[in-house]
Amino acid sequence: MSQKAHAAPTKEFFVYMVTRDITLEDCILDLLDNCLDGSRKDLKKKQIAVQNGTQYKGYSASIRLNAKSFVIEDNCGGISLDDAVNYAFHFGRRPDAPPEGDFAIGLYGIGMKRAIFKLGKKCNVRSSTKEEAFLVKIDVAEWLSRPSDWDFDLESIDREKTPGTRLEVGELNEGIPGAFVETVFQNQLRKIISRDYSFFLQKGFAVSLNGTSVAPYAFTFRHSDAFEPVRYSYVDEIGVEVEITAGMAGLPPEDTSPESTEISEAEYYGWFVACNDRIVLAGDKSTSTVWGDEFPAWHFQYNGFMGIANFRSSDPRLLPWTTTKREVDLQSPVYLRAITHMKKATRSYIDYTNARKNDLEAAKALELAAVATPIRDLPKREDVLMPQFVSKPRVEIANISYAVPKERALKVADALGNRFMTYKRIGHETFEYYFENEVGESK
Amino acid sequence: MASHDTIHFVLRPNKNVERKLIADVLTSLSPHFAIHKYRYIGMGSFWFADFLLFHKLLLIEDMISIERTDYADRAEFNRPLRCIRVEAGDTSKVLPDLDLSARESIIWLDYDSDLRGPVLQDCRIVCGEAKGGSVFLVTLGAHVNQIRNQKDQADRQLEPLAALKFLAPDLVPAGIEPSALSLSRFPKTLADILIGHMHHCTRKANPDKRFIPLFKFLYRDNAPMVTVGGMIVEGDAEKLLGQCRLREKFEYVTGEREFEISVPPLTVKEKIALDQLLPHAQDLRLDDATQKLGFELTEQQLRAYQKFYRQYPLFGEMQL
Repeated sequence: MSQKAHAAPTKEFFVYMVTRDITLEDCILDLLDNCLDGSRKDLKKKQIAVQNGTQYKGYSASIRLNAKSFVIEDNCGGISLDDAVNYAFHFGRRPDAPPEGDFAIGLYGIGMKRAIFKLGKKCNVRSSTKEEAFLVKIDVAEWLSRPSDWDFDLESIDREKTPGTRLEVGELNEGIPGAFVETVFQNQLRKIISRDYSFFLQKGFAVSLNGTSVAPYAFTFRHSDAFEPVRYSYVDEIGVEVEITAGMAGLPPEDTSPESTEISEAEYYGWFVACNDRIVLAGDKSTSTVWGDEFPAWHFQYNGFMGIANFRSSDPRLLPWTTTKREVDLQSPVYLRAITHMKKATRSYIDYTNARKNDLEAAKALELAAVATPIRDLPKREDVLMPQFVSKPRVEIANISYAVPKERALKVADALGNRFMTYKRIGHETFEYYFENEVGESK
Repeated sequence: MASHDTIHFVLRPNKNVERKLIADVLTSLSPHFAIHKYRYIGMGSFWFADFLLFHKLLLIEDMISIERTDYADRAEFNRPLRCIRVEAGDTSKVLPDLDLSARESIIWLDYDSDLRGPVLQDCRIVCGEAKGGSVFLVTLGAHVNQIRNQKDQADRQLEPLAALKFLAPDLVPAGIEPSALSLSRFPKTLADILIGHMHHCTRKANPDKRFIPLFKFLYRDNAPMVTVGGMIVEGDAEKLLGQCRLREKFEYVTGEREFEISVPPLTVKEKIALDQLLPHAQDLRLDDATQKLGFELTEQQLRAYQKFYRQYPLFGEMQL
């Protein structure tokens, strides 16, 4: 006798389980992705292609969060009634859904619902196009009480003057208000938006958080006659365009011993992976990109290196991202093929960090002379240009190392005028001082 | 230089008043919290003023004073009570070994240093580990010089705002006004940063815990100082704290709003004269005070004194 095993989904799965897979910050970014997709559709309607330039100028999203509510509001064209009725609130993308628009960054049909469930218990989505407007009120508890009816009620309302969408979540879930009121949370969210949407913000899209606008993180590489980062694109066999940019972004650390104090900007060194300009992995130093396995694992000495692999396709399903847009699909062939390119670019830099030790003074001078240059101003080239250093006729070198109580070292640093100077420099300065005063020659 | 090298600890009237105000509030936590069973962790220096006060007033008998290794022997010698244990070492090294999650504590880290010291790291330890119901206070130097003329690791000169961001990463509010970094406003800015940090560290370590601010004192005896503090709550501790009605009882339990303690330096004779006019249901009139004293205090000094005349300390010389 054959029976059936039940496999229908439950609402609880979406409200309580799927929401655990994503951080609070990332679910807010999902909502921001929808704003950007809206603006891209609107641009397409106006037949304006999104390339390098400021095509997003005029489009904006504002996020307001406090202990009581979360609001994200945009002027990005609004959701049409037809889209709203048939697609926007559907769990998972329907196979017959019209394409999200070229180079979309929303694709799974889960982001908005997951964000709402993660944030709170009541939600209003209000959207207006030039032609029509609607309001959907979601009461999560009430919705859960109807296990077999998945639909949300949608009512027609009067059009707004500016086409756009406003999503407000109230009755925030436990733990959310505590995060929202924190300066630290707001600063970190601002930093993430600034970094992960840098390319959109640079093209004119405006985002504000609690009334203060978010400036794009300026991705720059050091460029000069001696240093030229890699910057090239290729089209993968499945049609995805991959752009690789890699090279020296910051000065290599003065002191390569790991016990020296943390270096600023360290979170921006390593590999970035973007899909349709939206950054998915940031400053990665793990096996998710090139590091480790048969390739060298990340080392403190590599600080200063930055690589960006940007995957672009008009069909976002071909790109190697996951539903949280915070990881890459490590089995994706297009990604694995890109890793080979990324490793090649990384290798040149790793070699350089060793070669520069042959003539550190000359290397430092050249590094300092290289100018921080935005990506769009970098010339195209497929291999990294780095200065070569042959080992000079060698002066015999003595490496001096000794340990002192930290408190005493800090006192010396204070006396030298900077409590935060590296231990290595403290050593140098005190040695030179002794040499000058007791030995009496200058070097 | 350590503060005990410059001035006798108890000679600072505002600091002295502050200590008593805090003791009053802690007393009021009973009976909802069994304060006499708490442990007190402080930095008693060689005078242990807070230890003596809390032992006598709150009946606490488990007390730990953290003292830098170089001064620990001297602190040990000066320890006034048998129930005080001196733990030698830096705060960041000692605090993790105190098993803060095992029992409720009052922890008051009263630093000689400012943001350049271990304060943020120590807050992370305490907020992360302290048992729900514990009270946590921090006193810190609040002179704006700590962010002026600062350099980073690469020896680059930093603007005050950049210096503040370097010293307190992610803690500086977006769009902060330059005036918030002036000599007079910096103490408030610093207090806000500390409270924000305490909120964040508590929530990050355990989403079921919350930091509830109680104190935000600004004062200066010599250099400007701030003291911020509150209770780390978990479970029904928040409800119990509410039942203590601290805000109704004490105007200086202000949570996130700053409260300035600014009593004037007075001689014994002046204090006795003023006290004869007190208590007084309304604000003492300046004229009345002037008539009594024969000289003029400022309006602000008089208000501050009237508020805290009961806590105002008197000092005298002792012949041994």
